[in-house]
Amino acid sequence: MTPVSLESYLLVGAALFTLGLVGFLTRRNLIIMFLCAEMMLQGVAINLVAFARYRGNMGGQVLTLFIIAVAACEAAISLALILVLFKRRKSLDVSLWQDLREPDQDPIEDEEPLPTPPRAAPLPTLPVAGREPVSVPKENSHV
Amino acid sequence: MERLIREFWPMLLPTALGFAAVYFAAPRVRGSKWALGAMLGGGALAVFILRLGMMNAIWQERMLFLIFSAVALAGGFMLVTHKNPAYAALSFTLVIIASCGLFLLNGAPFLMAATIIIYAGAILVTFLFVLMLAQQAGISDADARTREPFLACLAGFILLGALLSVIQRTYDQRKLQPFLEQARRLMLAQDLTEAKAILVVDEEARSLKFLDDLYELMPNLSDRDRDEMINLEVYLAVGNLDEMSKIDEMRKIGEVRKIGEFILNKGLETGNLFQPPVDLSNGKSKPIAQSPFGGTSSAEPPAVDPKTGRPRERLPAANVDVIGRSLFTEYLIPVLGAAVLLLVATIGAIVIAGRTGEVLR
Repeated sequence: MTPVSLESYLLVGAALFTLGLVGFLTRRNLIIMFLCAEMMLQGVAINLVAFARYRGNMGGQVLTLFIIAVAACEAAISLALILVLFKRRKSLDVSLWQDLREPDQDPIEDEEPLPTPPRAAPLPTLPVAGREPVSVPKENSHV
Repeated sequence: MERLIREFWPMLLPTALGFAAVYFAAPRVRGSKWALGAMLGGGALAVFILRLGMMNAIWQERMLFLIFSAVALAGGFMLVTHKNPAYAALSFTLVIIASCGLFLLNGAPFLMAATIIIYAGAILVTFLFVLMLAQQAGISDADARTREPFLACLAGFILLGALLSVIQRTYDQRKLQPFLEQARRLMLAQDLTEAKAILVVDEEARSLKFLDDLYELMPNLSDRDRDEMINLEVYLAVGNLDEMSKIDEMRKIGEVRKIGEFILNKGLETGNLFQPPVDLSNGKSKPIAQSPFGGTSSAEPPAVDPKTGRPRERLPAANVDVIGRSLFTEYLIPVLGAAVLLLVATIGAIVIAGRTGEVLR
């Protein structure tokens, strides 16, 4: 009986890395893109820790610690950048910044319009307080 | 091509399913098939987990490993495909916590704590805060649309298929396991008939199938090792084992035992990784100067707790100690570099975010 093999950890790490890669390529929300990059780092960290155990030395764990430090720096910088970008365009959509593309590239247009959100029902209004209600006597009343 | 599929289908099938899953589940303005994508993703995950589960490991560790990796991958899928960014960010916490479980399984409790505190505690909460601040009413362009989902998924999952196949090809130890077991039995063989029964499968052809198969498994043996093995094989195949046994049985058993030792050592060496040097299951480890996963070997704790009289649990409590030691001796310069990096990042973040009075477009 042996511990879980190194191969298994490497497989999981590779799968996490690729999921992060696909997410980074497809998503348009700046923050989700950042989180996907962090997920790629997690995949790498799993690899490193597994290697550290199977090699029986601390190199992998120490490197993972450095990964965490770099991720913290990255988070601080990207948070600042995202805030600046958001202030300018009022949106987290990364495609709003496509005027940074190469000059010979065509811009990406969104073909389908966004569905209009359903109109919320109007809020109920309260009558003005402190006024005597005007009572209209009904016809044919026997009071 | 056929051989490729036959050999690697446990890797390629979940890759293809995962491709379809992420492609269908990716956010779209109209006609999003999230449920279909999630079902496909579940199938991919099930196949992948079944493949991962095919191993000869301690069952508790195996179960924990499978649970943690399933949660991590499911969380990753949610992060990539969920339309609501707040839910996506929360499912990233799942990824973090599950991979922290994997850290713990690998004997890294300090890293587990640090990762949870920094990722799940600090980074994620800050980003959730910004997400909430920046949240727009209703569905926005940023969350309801994707860029080139087909091409991105294709590229990503081709990479994944290649990675998984290469990892399986390089590190798969399931095939080697019976040979190492045989070599072990060879070493422990008491007499020649027993050794012969292990070594020579076909008595008529005198073929040493055991060694033949071993060649195929170890393509990366060095030439010298290969020559040595061929010498051994020729010696065994040409010389009649029975006659040899008459001459000097004891000595010959010694020879056979040497062959078993040789094969075992080569097997362990070729993939130095085939067998972990540190076995956490029973606490036995190869003599290394500092065992980072449970105390330094010089100050090995007594096996029995003197107070309770029961065997002492081997918690990897010395992990922090050893990490600190190696950080501040072996990796001192990188630590200083990381410190400088943190300082620069702090200043940079303040400078970037602190600008006021800019002309906003």
